[in-house]
Amino acid sequence: MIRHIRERRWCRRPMPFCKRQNRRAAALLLAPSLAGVAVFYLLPFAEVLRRSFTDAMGRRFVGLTNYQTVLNNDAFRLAAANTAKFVGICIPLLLALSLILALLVRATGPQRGKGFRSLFLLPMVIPVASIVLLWKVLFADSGLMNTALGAAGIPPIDFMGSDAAFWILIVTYLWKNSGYDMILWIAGLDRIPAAQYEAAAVDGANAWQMFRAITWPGLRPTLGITALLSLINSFKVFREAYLVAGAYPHPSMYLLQHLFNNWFLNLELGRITAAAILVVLALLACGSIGLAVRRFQRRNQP
Amino acid sequence: MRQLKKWCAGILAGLFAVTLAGCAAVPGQQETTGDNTVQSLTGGYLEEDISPDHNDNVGLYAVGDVLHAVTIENAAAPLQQQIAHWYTMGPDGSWQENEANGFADAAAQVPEASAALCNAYLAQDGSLYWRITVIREEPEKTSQSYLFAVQDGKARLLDTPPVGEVSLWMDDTTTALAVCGDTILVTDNTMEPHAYDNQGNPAPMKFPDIQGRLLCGNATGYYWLDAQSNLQYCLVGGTTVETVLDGSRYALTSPGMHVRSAAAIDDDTIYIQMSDGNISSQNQELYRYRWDETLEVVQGGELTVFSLYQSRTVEAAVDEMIKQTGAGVTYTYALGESTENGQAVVTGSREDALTQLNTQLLAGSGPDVIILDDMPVQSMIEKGVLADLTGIINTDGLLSNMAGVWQTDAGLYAVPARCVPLLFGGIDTVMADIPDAETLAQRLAAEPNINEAEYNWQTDPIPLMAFRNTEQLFDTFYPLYAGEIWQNNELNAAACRTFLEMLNRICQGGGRSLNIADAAASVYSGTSYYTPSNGTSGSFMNAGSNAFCDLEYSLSGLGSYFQYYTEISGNPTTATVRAMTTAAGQSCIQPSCVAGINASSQNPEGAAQFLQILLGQTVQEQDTYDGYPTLATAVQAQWQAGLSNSGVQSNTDMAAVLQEMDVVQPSTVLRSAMLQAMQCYLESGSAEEAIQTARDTAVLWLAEQ
Repeated sequence: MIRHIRERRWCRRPMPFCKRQNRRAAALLLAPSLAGVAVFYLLPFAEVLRRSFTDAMGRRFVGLTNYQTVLNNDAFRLAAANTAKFVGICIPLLLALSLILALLVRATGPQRGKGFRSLFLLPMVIPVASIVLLWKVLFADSGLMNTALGAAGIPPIDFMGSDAAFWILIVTYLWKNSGYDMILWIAGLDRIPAAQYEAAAVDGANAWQMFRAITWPGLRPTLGITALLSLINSFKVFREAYLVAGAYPHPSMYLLQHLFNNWFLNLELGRITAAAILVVLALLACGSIGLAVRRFQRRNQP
Repeated sequence: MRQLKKWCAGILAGLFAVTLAGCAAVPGQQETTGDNTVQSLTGGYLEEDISPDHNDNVGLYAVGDVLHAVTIENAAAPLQQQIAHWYTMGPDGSWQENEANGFADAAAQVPEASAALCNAYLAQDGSLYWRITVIREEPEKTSQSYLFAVQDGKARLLDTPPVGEVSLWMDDTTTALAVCGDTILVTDNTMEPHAYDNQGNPAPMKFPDIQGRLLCGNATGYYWLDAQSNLQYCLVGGTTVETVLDGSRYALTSPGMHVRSAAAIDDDTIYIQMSDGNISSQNQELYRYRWDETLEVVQGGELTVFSLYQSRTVEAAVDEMIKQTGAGVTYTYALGESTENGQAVVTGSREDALTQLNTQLLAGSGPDVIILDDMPVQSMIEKGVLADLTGIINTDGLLSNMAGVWQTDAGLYAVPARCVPLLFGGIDTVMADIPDAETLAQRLAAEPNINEAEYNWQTDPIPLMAFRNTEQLFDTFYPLYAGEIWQNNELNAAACRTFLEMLNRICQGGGRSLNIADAAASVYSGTSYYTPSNGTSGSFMNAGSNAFCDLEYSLSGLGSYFQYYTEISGNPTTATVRAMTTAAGQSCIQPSCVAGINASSQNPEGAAQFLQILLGQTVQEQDTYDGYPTLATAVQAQWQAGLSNSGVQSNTDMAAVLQEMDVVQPSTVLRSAMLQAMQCYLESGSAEEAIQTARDTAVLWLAEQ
């Protein structure tokens, strides 16, 4: 058997010269970007990974102590749960809402659609400080919302000091990012050939059937990138939360970034790096599950 | 492509292994960069204190090679009670008095007035002149100046000043005058220099870009003081500037003192009169600066000091270190602090400042000396950020409870240079009936509400105490009970309830009418019973109460309290002050100005020297209004100085009182949680709701630990 394998190796056809040249050229052209990625992303990540196994100053190896401390820490568990809950609620809601907006904006036609697009994108460009001010005007104890509730005979709500704070965070996130995701969906919708819709219309398909059979399958590539960008943007909501409620907000809006910030003030770098690695592993696990589901679906497709 | 992926994975794995192996590097090895070597130079100005007996100087002049100093005794007294002295420095360096100063004769010719300012001028021909400016308050405030020329001990009133230097000196627009041979230099109200001949006629002359204050002149040139308190020299008519003295190394930059006048003789010997600006304090010093070729001048290295908040104690230590070693010490602080309505207001973000500092520390850089107030000291010690001070810093003579605050099995990592005790003092009869804080609270609860409009502070009985707002009341008592309330990072509900009920009883009695959300001053203006945040304890003198209970920031200021109590009791009294305690005997003293050395310091020797200066007698004795000294001898010195300034006696051994007090370090976050609980309780009246508020506010912080 081994002899056959050896013979097979000797018999393998050599790579064409032009193909090798192409690969070398590609490697050379990619090298500067890869170097930048390595210096600014990979090396720091490696350092974070190293520090998760050392003390705060990075001098002494401590094994898995940091991981044990983090996993047993109530604040980490709360922050992780809140973050997971926030992401789990926000991302699907945002994707659905922005898709609906995209479909509606497209339906209004090219001219009016442009105006609506600009309008929905405006929240994204509003500075964080302005949003914070808006929060305070709306949701303070004597703010606009409580004034309106009082006028309606409803007792005031402590928005920032109760579980309502979490939902305000979600509403803010949706309001700020739906315009951006809408643009991504619109770009995806524009890639679907109009001829498919015409053919479906000739066959007597209704709007829902067209959406299910043509639009949704056509948007699958866009779904991935939109979901990823939405996930990245979900971490930025910490800025508003921190500026409004400070380092120790109501527990319902206590996120991982709050914890990392506060731990850093106490020089708990070992814990921060261990927690960051755990978050990365969690994201990788979710991504792997998603990939596995996709492969399973592809295998089962007729 | 598969091969490329394998290569990338291999490189990453190798990088990871190498950086992990970096943990095996010997800890503490730091590459020293920058020049922190100490240099020794030969030749410099020798500073000598040559103050005469009566040193309230009103004129300092050099005529030829002889120094003359004209001083006034009892300067704050009415004119006719003031006594002038005209001193001349002899060849042997001793002061000789010239009795023929003519002041008494001049004063007798001036009409009586409520106040008078006197200045003397000694012309280059040796003639002495007096300018006496009398100030009258009635019917309206006016002033009038009289000029006298002294001859043979007699003063002759002059209608007009003689032309030349005297007329220029008498000119109201003249702020400074220097005689340089035949040239007279003058600066006006705009600090612009002008040159005149000895007849008082303008003379064209070039000047360098003078940014400072003209002081004096000699035959060839003139001296001025720049904004950095360096003494500069320039030849008459020239534009080249020479720095003669680096003010930071001499008394020119002593805290609280400024240059009043100066004189110079032709051998470049300079005389400078320093004053604190307070006529009644009589705190003036006359220094001589002579060039000494054999003098060894040490030029130290560079040192950086950092704190979150400005500290006058640290500034005093920086000043002293520069004087002693010539080191280039840079002190920076991150946040501004002020007081509004008795509450501390901070400008800037503590979190941002700490984040920046921690980034430097974790990267192995950062300041050499860190003032650790409002920082996570314990965490910094555990993480190895601070250097072990054992064997480096001598803590002998410090209050024993202060020296050991951050002493661990592994070593000593931080030392406080100041402390803030909660003290109780007042009229003896009042103090005898109040053994502890609970009793004080009961008495305060029984006090009439002086914040009601009906209370007449001029006729109604003087209150025991009064407070300005609830937060300050809270800050006074909270450190005393913090340890009982928060035990093992958990809230003790019973202790919390007791504390809140005690504060509520006080508020019901003395401050019920205060709107908790509005920290406006009470109708009884001048009421001040609160935790002062730096430099505000002096306003307690307007309080009008029978006792005080304060977190104290100034020992010498304490003496003024007892001066007040002496006055209101009507009898000379012995001042008594003791620690305020709970009924269980718990007292409270908070360490402050806590100093540590960065383990990654580029100049650890300089840092150690700085800490030693910070804990030394010179700095500790200075009353910087940011806490009491932690050096026992300095405590006694300040205490006695405060009593003597107020004319009060005391048998209290202040160092012993402080040494017996319990060290408390309340957490900022837990303090905020309890403050919210107190405010909730005062609003709602529900202790359970307040306790839950405290728990909810602190839950995240406690969970993070």
